[in-house]
Amino acid sequence: MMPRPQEKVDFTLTDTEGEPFDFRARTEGYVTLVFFGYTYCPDVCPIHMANIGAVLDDFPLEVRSQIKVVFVTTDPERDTPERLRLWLDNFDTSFIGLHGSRDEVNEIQVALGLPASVIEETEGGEYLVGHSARVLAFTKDNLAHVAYPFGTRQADWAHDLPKLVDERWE
Amino acid sequence: MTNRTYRLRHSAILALAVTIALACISRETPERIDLEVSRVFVTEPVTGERAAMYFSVTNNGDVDDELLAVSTAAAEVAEIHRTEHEGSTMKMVPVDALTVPAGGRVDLAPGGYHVMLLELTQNLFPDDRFDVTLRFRHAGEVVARARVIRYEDVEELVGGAALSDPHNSR
Ligand SMILES: [Cu+2]
Repeated sequence: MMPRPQEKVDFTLTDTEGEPFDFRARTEGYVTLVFFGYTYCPDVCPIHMANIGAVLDDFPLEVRSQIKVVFVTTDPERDTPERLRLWLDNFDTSFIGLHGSRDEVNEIQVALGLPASVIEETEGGEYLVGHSARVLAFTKDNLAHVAYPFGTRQADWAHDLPKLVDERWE
Repeated sequence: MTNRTYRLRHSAILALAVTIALACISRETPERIDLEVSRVFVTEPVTGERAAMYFSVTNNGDVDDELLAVSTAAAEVAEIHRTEHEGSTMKMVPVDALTVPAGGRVDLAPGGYHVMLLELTQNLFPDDRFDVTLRFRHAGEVVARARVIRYEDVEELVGGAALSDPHNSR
């Protein structure tokens, strides 16, 4: 549970088809899981996405169709929309991938009460991306009452998501 | 009679000598080195270029050891990485060595340590197996067999090193 529910913020980023995605308009009426990460991430990002994807597979369509998963890249230089699509399709082809400039994305994260991502250069021209490990879960009231940390297990998602769809949280 | 007494005494002296010799051996033998590497899992590379490897090292010996390097024919580069936590932000940083204390066990797991396999030389699919060589400061080279697994199976097969997020009580 969040100490205080987090409100949605207005932003428009580019989806993996290259089309603008108006977050508030397109997620209205859905349970929306929002996560900021990058595709070169070794474990935190793919495990979150894989766990959610695996659990959604087991839900009946009527539950699944009320949930949207939005992944926003914190590494826009390397995560092209095409690469994002390829990566997300490993977990669930319905996952939405969003792309914007680092500044735009950082601004959104801060507005959502998450820390901005940090980019650090390493030797050899590589760089690493630090990012929040939490998934924000917005319900149909357009508030996130719950944020899920890294380490959330499939059993937790399977337990919680249908409740969030039913507007229940605790 | 005298002869028999002599023999008795002689064997007692011999026994004492053996005991002393054994004591000397155990005192002078360099520390016992006994490392066991188990549960070697590699995540299926989602976009083909990199994969994370996890395993457990059990040190049954009586000297601290250090994992210095990892190599495998499956990747050009293998780096030991640690995930650093700052609040809910996570980022991975390379480390030079990983200590395995005498009598202790180190589990590489998501959110903690992993070995990053970069520049993969072959396609890896779930259930593929390949050898990895771990080089320790004292134990030298240990070869173990790695198995490729899907990200959604990581929580069950590997678990996690960061299953709680102190900044977020969910
Ligand atoms: Cu890494």
